[in-house]
Amino acid sequence: METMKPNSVEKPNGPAFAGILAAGLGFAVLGAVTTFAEVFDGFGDWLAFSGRVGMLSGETIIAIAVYFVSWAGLGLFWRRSNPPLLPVAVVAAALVAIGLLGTFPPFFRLFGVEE
Amino acid sequence: MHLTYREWWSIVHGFVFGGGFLLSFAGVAIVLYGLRRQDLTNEGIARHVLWLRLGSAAMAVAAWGTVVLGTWVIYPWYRTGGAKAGLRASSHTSGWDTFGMEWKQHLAWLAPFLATTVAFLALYYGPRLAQSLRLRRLALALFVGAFGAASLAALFGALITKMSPVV
Repeated sequence: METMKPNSVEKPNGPAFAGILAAGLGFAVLGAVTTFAEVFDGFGDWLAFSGRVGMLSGETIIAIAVYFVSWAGLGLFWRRSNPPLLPVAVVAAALVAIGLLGTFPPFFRLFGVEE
Repeated sequence: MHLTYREWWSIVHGFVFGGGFLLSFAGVAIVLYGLRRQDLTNEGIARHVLWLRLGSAAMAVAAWGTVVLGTWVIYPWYRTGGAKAGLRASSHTSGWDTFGMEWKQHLAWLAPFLATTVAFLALYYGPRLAQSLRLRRLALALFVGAFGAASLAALFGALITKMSPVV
């Protein structure tokens, strides 16, 4: 088991805060892609990466990719940094709110037709 | 008493992974909440950190297992096997598909994103979480968000399955 080590205090917050922002970004993109799929028929058709799963396959693959790629990118960018927590938390919460709105059926149905 | 092949997979999706995630929440949340420098010896902190790391990693795996199985295995059966058409056949039940399933299948994806981030925080910070109330609150907020998303998705999943099961 790990005990208290002095060097555990020195780790920069950047890579961890990058994960928080990436989670918000991944979910916001899921919301945006879900809504855009309703607005643009061609985009919705393109998102059906798997015929069995339909649009949800493309929506989720893109969101997963954004989550991991943005985490890696931000983590690399902030690997020695200590970004302030409050702005990171506020932006992450706003991104999650965008995702919640974009994936809420009464909202995205305003822009298109049912599947 | 007989379960079909699809029903077995639905059990793995909803009970093994989904149920495992939800049931583990209270235990891991208590470990995180109790990880306080002033209340624990160094050995106690090390033990809490170990459980937090194992618990949060297991919950992240369970969250991914739930959504990947739900999206790529169960949902195609729901779409083409009659469950969706059964709900849409009546105006009294169509909302379970057009709202319930549509919402749940998207909302559920918030859980693995947040749960994975919490598991990383536990792995990355480890004992430092015991010293920082701010970091513990942050991890707890993310954890509660993951639990909330998973709970709502599970509730809709159970009700939709009751209305029109995948068989």
